[in-house]
Amino acid sequence: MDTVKTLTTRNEILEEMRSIISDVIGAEFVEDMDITEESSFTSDLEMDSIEIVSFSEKVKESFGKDIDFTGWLTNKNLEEIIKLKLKDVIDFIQSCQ
Amino acid sequence: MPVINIPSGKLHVQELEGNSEDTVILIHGLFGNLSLYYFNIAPQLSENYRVLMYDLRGHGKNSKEESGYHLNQMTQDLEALIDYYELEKVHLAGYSFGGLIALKMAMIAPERIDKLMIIDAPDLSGISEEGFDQIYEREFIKPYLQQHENTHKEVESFIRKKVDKNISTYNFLMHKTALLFDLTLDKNLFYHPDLKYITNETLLLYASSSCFAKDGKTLSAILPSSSLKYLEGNHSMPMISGRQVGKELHMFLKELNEYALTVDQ
Repeated sequence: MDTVKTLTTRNEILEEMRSIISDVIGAEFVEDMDITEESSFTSDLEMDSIEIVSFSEKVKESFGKDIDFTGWLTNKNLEEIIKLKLKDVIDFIQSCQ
Repeated sequence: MPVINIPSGKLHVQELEGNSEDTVILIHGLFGNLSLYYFNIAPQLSENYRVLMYDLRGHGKNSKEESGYHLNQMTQDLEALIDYYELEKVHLAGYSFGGLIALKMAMIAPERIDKLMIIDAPDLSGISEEGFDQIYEREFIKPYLQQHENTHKEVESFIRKKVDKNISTYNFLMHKTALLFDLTLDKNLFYHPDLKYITNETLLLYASSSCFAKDGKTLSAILPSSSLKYLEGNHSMPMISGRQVGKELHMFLKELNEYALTVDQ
């Protein structure tokens, strides 16, 4: 298991997200993508449900169990998850730190 | 990605730690993956139980396999998972074909199983290949598309992509693997003479408009310690009404008194 990271600035968190996304959907797909805070999980990154599961697990590994990303997603409906952008996740992580 | 080694290969597993050593294993159905449970049902159960979910052989994040889709292999995989986590006894919940795996497991290793939750599991006898195609289209694809039509463009686009991917998985498993043949090996599970010896407390949770609704009654008549309950919806009920399904499973596991009052006998 990876060491839990303490990343506090938006840029640090975004950089960690890029690394997680690369693991989840494959480095070869990420190469051609411009991943920014405005990138959405489904439209831009084209993640499906099982990839969002993997993403969620990796967020836990990277940021620790105090960041209950899965619980946060559970309270969202499908439309909200589909519209979710990386900036929303960064906001959530910062709010937990 | 948590992957464990079992005798037949590697298995993608996810775990939600609850406040208990009491473990529930959730088994998804054919053509799906563990995400069926991950965002709705599993978090509800993890309030009181440790929850394990895994992708079935050849499904989800596991490698594609050309064979081994019969219940003997599927139950061996499940038992290997239980062994891997060194669990003496577990509760099992299985949806659709996953429900058949749970039933078979209770038949062959009753000492490892506590409570059983069978969600809209089908009687496979008499379903032809064309039957599977029709059921898949009618019970999965159409309701899913209908539920999300006339919604936001982004949502429609996501659903369309999801459906296309599901159809691609369906076509691979049905036409390029031994799945269809393997299903014929297990088509008479509901009529297996040992089924009536399953004495585990069992919840049969069926969808009232599912093409398998009557199969709940068949099982109810066979399993001596079962309760049958119908929820609204068709076979895609756990996808569309995940929270309600999770609530029913949670209530059954906790044996709430009011649950007994609401069960249709």
